[in-house]
Amino acid sequence: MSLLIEASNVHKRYGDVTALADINFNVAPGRIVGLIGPNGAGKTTLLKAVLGLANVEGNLRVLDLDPVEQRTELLEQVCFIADTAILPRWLKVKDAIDYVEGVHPRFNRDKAEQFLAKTKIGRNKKVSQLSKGMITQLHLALVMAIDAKLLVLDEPTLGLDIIYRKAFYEELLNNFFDNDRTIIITTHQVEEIEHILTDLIFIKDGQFVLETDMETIGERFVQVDVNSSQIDEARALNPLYESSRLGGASFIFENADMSQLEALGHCGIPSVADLFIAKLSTKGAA
Amino acid sequence: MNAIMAQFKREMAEHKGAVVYGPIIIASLMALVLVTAIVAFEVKGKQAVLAWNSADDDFELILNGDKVKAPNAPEAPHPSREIHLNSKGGTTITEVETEQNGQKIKKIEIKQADGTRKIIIIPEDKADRVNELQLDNLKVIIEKEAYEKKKAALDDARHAAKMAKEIADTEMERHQAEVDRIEAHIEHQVARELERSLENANTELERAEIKAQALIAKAEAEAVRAERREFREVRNERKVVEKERRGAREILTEDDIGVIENASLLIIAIFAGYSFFVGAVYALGTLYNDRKDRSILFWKSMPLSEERSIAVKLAFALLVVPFAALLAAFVIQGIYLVAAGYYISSFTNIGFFQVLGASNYFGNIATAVGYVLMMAPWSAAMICWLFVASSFAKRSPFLLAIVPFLIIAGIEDMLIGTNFVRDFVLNHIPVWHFRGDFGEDAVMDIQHSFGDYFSLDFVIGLIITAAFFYAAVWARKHRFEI
Repeated sequence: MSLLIEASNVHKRYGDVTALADINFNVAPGRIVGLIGPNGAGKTTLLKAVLGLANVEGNLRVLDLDPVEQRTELLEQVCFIADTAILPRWLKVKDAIDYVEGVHPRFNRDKAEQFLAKTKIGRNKKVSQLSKGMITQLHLALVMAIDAKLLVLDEPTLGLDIIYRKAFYEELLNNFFDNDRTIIITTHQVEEIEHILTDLIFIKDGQFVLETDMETIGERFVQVDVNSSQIDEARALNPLYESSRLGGASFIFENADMSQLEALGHCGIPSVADLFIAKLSTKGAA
Repeated sequence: MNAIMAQFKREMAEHKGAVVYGPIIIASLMALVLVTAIVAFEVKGKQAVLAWNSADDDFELILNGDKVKAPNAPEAPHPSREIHLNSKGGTTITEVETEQNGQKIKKIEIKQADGTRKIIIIPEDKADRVNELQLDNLKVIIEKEAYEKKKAALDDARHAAKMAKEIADTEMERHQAEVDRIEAHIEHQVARELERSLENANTELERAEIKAQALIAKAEAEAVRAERREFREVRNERKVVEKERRGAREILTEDDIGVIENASLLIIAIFAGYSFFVGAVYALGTLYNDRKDRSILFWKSMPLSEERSIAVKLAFALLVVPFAALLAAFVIQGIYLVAAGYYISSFTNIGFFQVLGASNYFGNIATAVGYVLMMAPWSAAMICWLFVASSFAKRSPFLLAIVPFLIIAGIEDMLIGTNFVRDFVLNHIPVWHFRGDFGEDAVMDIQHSFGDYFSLDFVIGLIITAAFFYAAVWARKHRFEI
């Protein structure tokens, strides 16, 4: 299979509000894509479109299927965790396992049991008796035991403490991800997923502001720490973003001449969080 | 595991309380009542617990205490009358017959010479005993009077002594002192004697009175016991007569069978009503609750089509819910029949198995099962409408389900003056039709309850069912966010 997701001119509008404005993008297998944007940028709408939960205009194929029309077939290959709290409170752990085993042809019960064995989740407990972290563990156990091609995580770690968050992403990398599978993640805690991403998409007002793989970030963006005396020189080079720091300022440049920048001060690769702020707070200068 | 089974299992897991535990609790309470009635029946010596209404030969499950009436009182009491039994020596015994608290009594008043009064009240039917006591009393009185005679004699002696003194006064002044001494002596003696006699008489009288009272009390107690014994005898006699009358019965009458059938129907009706209620609540909630608790996205992450999910829910409401309730109904019907058979056979010549045989238990089960199956296509429209309300509602599925019909039916009634919408809606609500008898031809009965399967009503119902079904599917696909 060539592409997992093919999207061209994907458009979505809620009344007067444009949620997605003619988006074009492709996702290949074996990627971990971070979809990052401020609230209301269209992240969730895009994910819903990919999952067949919302109709969109334009051409969108996921696993070469129409997400809305062929949703049932699609969901045999696609899993998602939309939020931490969506397992129903009355559901018992063992009933949840039985149910997914019953309805999902690609569910592997042993895998789910193996994962749950590492947690303190009792099989006879109801979801309402589990802590928030345990609910996420359970949900992840159910989803990871499914042999799916695409896993979509929409704010999966919202409301979890740092220990559960770290464990969550570790499990994801160790037990789910391989070269055939793709993960799309949205989160506000950018720094926590930075090291596991292969691709990065910034979205703002329904448009992609940045779409790149992580390797090329270093070639494209440079962060330079400039002393106060050279600030004006740096500003003259048309930086993407400027932020003050102790004894000077920090500048982020896109596609700039490295030799010029190295003269200004220490050069490095900007963090995704800094890049996010840089790209999204641009006042049209770039 | 089969995917559809997993879906049913999931519905069952969510609604186990209403679908499984509810009927079990209702059945348990019914069983408790039946067992209590039988136990009470045994404890009370197989009497009057499960009341057999002798007027129409029905037996009813009533905890009916002991209601046999007391035997009638003899005849009307005589008007009051007084009998002066004795007036000798100043002691009077007066008898008055009168009535007190509806009971005939005899009031006996003993008035003694010194003015003390004693009143004894006894029931009239113990009069004989009292007469004996009166004789005893008289003996005492006579003895007392004998002492009084003796006293009179002593008075005479004193008088004689006085006379002697007068003679002595006139004849022998000098013997005065001796006479005085003698006189004093005599007086002293007489007084002492008299006192002692009177004392004795009084003690004797008191003793006699105490004895008399004890005897009266004993007689009273005896009389009360006798009355109770008589009351029991009369009651038992009535029972024996009744039992003989029933004992002659060896065959269940049409009425008896009718009563058993009615009880079976009542049991089915209770569970059918319950399952209708549960089914409606289920249909109203099932496409709303998961949207409200946001678990819908979990269910939607499974590779199941909405058509299939809603079809499973429809089958759950139309078949699983009523059959779960019916299962409980069948069990409790069985328990009822065993209780009825035990009860009837314990005081008639009708055999236990004769009662069971007459009950048409399996026929009723078949009818009820057929009823549920045939009811399903009729009530599918209602369930699907509740699905529509459930899947579209933002706040209250209940109001969304009810209000449109009230408005439409109201407008129809006001503007056109007909009630087509109302009747159509009521025709498709299953509980409205649970009037059918469990007769020989169950299918006929069911058709009679609902209407013809080839009627326009039915066809329109099916079309509406399909429309509502797809409306709910559409809402699940495109309007699932609250």
